[in-house]
Amino acid sequence: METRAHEGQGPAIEARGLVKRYPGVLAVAGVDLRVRPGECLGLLGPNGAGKTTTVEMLEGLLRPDAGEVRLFGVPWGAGKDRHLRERIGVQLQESRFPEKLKVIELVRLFRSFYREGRDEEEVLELVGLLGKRDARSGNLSGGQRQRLSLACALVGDPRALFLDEPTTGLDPQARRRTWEIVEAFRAEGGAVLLTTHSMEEAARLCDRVAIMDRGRILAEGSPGELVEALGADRVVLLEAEGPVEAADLADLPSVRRVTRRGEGFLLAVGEIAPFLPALLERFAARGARLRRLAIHQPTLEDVFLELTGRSLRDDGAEVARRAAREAAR
Amino acid sequence: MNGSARGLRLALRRNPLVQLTLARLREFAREPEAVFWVFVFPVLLTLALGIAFRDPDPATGERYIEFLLPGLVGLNIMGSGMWGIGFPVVQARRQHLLKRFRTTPMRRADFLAAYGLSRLLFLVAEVIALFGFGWLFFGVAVRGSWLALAVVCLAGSLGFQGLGLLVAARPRSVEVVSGWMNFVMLPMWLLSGTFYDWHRFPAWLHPAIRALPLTALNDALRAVANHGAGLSAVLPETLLLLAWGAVSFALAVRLFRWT
Ligand SMILES: Nc1ncnc2c1ncn2[C@@H]1O[C@H](COP(=O)(O)OP(=O)(O)O)[C@@H](O)[C@H]1O
Ligand SMILES: [Mg+2]
Repeated sequence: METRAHEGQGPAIEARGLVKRYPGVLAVAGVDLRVRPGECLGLLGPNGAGKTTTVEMLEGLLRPDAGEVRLFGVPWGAGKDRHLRERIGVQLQESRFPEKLKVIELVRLFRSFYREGRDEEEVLELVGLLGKRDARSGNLSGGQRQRLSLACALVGDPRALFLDEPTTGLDPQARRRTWEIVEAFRAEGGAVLLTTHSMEEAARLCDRVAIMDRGRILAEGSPGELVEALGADRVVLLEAEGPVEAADLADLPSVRRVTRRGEGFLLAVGEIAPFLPALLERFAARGARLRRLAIHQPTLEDVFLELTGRSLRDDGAEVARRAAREAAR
Repeated sequence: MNGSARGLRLALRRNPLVQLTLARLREFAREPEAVFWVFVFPVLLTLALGIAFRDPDPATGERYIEFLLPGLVGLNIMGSGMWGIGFPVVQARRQHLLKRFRTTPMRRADFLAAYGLSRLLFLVAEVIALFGFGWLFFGVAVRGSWLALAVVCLAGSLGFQGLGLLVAARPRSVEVVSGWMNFVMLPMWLLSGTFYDWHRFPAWLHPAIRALPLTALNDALRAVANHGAGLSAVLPETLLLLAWGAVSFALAVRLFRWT
């Protein structure tokens, strides 16, 4: 316990210049990050961005080709690895438990690896699995299994928690439960590093978000800061039928930026009131028709789009989802 | 009194070796097929062969079942030692459980020792089941010392566990490890004299056959059970088995893949 006193000062997780190469891919191309105690950092990026590779280097599972990792000021491989492992909790993106073992047996097994830790039942209570105490892990639902995994990560009473896509594939209710558990951990001074490709999750859960693509961190800040940096009050997505070019849109009032996106355009717009009539006027003047117009508050999704020119999710899925959302209005 | 019992319970509960071993035992006991192949099948095989060959050989006056039973015990120790390690290790690797364990302060030694310990507990049950069955049904007695028998079985089990761990050190799929297991065990099924005397093979093959761990195990088991040999008489075979175990264990630890 005396270690906790001086933990407050330095970062819990720190990486400088991390690089990892695989044959033919630069999976991680120079990543720096820091997470302080009591803080949650989200790595937000699409599949293949290098999130898992980064996290596994931080967890001491993968050796970086270049760069340095320190947890609580201590690097991996300095003869203190066991000491570090006592203080971190890890949930891997894809790990399964032996199906025949019961929930309590698995939590107890993980508890036995740590010199100090929490009571097994207390942790099950925390993740809402006490009622499933004697169920076999193979009989749990996806969300329950995820929470079991979280329980095993928490039972050693870690000071830093690494969660690789903790809510991917979960239903909304299960996600919210996971978020509550993570929030409680952070509120007690734990450091959290999680990866996600859900901007909603990043915005809701993280103090800071690092947007990652192709092995690099493109931008970092609080969700609010990142969105503000877009410099837009509104984001306008439109598709035109007829001769309209980006240049025709860029000089409209309040327009800050225009980017092509698939068939249409994405506009970062300041005040919306003067913009809309001018837009319609311009279309009329060009003899073009507005096939589609959507206006929304900027989100992290837009930040990602702005930074990479691509959508966070699979493009096809995203277009379909937006279309469905609009049809429902 | 009550307090110290609770203290002991808590100590066992917090002991990684105990918990890892319990996990192995539970997984096995909750797997009906595994229980069948390790316990029921050998007994059925003994029963069938024992009935088929219950009459004494007119030339030697020996019964085949007496020859066969130690061989079946040897075969069982090989199968359960290799499968009992190889299959769950590869399964845990495939499911990323090994990787997950690596993120905890779990000691590798505890992890490996738990496999050995759980196998040894089963070994006692397996050997007692087979010899007990042979004794009850066919009156096959163990002539030598039980201590010698225990030491030989232990050495055999450790030898095959080492081999099992070596075969399972790298594969990521159950299919691959099954292929290698069978590749390693098949020659011993054929050559090591489980069902017939391996001296029938041409003499130039004998040195190779003699070096196989199952041959050593079968010969030592027969010496003790059929001919009443003591520990010193089976020392060479015992050492050979331990050497197989030590060499393959050392190799396995070097090659072992956690991911
Ligand atoms: N073991 C590996 N061997 C080869 N390439 C890999 C390996 N692991 C990851 N990669 C590649 O590295 C890149 C980053 O992968 P990953 O870190 O898993 O991304 P994310 O978790 O963001 O989806 C991908 O292009 C992936 O194909
Ligand atoms: Mg990943």
